[in-house]
Amino acid sequence: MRGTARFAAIGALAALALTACSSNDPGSDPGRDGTGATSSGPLTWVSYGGKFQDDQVIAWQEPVTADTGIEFENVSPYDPAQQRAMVDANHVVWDVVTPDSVFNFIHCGTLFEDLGDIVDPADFKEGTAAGACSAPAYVFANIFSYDADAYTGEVPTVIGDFFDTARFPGQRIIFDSEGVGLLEAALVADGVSVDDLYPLDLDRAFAKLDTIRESLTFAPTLGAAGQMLTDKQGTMTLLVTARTVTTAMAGVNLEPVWDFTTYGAGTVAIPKGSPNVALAKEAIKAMLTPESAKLYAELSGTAPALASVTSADLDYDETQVKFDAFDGDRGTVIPRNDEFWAENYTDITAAWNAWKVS
Amino acid sequence: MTTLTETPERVEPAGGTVVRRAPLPRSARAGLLMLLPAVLALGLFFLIPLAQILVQSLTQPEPGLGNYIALFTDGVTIKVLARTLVVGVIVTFGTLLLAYPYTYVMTLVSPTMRAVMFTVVLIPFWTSMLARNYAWFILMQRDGLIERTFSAIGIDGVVLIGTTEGVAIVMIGVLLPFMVLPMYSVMSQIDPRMMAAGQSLGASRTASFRKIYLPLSKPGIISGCSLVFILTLGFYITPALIGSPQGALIAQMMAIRTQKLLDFGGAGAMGILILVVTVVVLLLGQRFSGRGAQALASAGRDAAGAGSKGGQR
Repeated sequence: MRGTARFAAIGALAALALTACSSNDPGSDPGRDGTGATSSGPLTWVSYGGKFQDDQVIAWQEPVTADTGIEFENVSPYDPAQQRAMVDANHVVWDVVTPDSVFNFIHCGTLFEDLGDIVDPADFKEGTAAGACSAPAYVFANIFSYDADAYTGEVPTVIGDFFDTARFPGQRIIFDSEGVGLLEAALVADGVSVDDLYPLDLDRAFAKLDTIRESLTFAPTLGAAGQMLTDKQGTMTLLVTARTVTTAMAGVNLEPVWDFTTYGAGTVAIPKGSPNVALAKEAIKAMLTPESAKLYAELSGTAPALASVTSADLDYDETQVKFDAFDGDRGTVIPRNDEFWAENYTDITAAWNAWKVS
Repeated sequence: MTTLTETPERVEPAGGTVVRRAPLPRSARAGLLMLLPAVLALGLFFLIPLAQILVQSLTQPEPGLGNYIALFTDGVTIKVLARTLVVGVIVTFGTLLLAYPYTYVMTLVSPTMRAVMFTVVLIPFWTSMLARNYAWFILMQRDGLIERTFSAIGIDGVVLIGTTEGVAIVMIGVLLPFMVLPMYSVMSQIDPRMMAAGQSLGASRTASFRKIYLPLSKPGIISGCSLVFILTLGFYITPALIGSPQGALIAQMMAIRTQKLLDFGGAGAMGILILVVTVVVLLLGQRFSGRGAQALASAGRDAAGAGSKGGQR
């Protein structure tokens, strides 16, 4: 019995010791001391991984490293809730992140650093530089496209056709999120003029969506949306540029409908309380060059956010040109009103979830 | 080997229960010490974060019960919680129907065959949860294997993806081991000679099963059902992937609150609500098992045996 008691005591002490050591402190790495002091240590870049982040490495990180010597360490996925937990606990270990522009707008100053000293909204396309805490990095459009194999006779030509299940039956595949341009599309299809679009009449938008509720298929991720189209699970979609291009290149005979399209910006930002704020700002400033913008646009198929780089400057391949929302006459192309979305985000999300569940 | 130097007094009242009233002997003290690491771990990694969540739900965004009141008045949470409970009941019942005969057969076969049956039930634990869900996704989608098979026998349009039925089916498949293992640990202890004794006394096979075997297996059923039901309440991956957002379950609502709205207080309130529901279910299970605390202890033992085999969701 004595042996057991001793063993148990050792076990308890070992557990205590393990617990103390296991609160791992990445801030104790050399080059990052977590107290806000800058150093030349690698910046932690957090995004969504996969090709998305690989393109960012090639187009943004490598040129910056070549020019300024700043190194990057890539981490994924980016989790907004994790960022908030870090900021609340005053122990932020991320330096550069790629949040959604509305999210960035909402939490500017509380979860994100002010970038007013490195970002001049005038340099960027209209509607992309929303809020003082975002550096617009690229522009994506929410493109309405259909599978040309499914509609051989009449084909959709206007945004209203997305909501016309009588003439164009078939499942509409959309990414399960309120911000994909679906609400705006529903209002315009219902007859609201583009100038009166904001503030959004949510009840009217949901009423319009109710008319095609049976034909809506929600995809849990953007990847799943593309895969569903490839597997012929749907015939129409409202999908972001990069995914539309990837799906078209995967063999789906997608045709865009250029009538009414919304666009938004992908942003780069610095979490509030990051240990390397000055260095991160330097890196972001070095990243916002026309060369990087051009390179990223060509890699991903998205459009550059810098106003100085237009479609004519880009060396897109065929598919990317086809789905370029800014190349010539593409009908009505307007930016999503990030300010409205930021101010009403909680209400819109609550209404969206209530509508989905009902 | 040391011997006990203190003999505990034994008081034996008429009912025959033994009550110890002596100071704890050495073996019990050593036992408590052995418990200490687990208690510490539980405290640090479970109770403290749980307390944090509770505090957050009561203080963010403003102090008070606002988050809890909002849960009952926003029109969405209660609907989704009710739907989750209904799906839980359906999944539990379906799993029970599938698992009971399987477990019964497991008690009858030879040890080799039993090992094979065990492996078959446990194989899901060894494969990735996400891979399994995606496999079901591909089977269930439009023009997938399931729809084509049903069309071949004349039933068209069996598209299970995006439906609550599809979600229930996949959950039954995933949670089957959690029902089989607790039930097996109870059923393997039932003496089969009792059934034979019942039949020799004149009962038919069904009657002796119904009156002898079924009541004896009840603790296993209760513990298996409790385990499966509680796991369904918190399931996230399957409803998110296989189901449609219109059929969202409570875990998806919590995910939206936490990740999109960063409403840690509201999500915490939802979590506490589910915790309360879970505890109520456990207590009801204890009541129904009919043997009081003893049954609950055995349920805990069986569940621990099952739970240790795989804790993924």
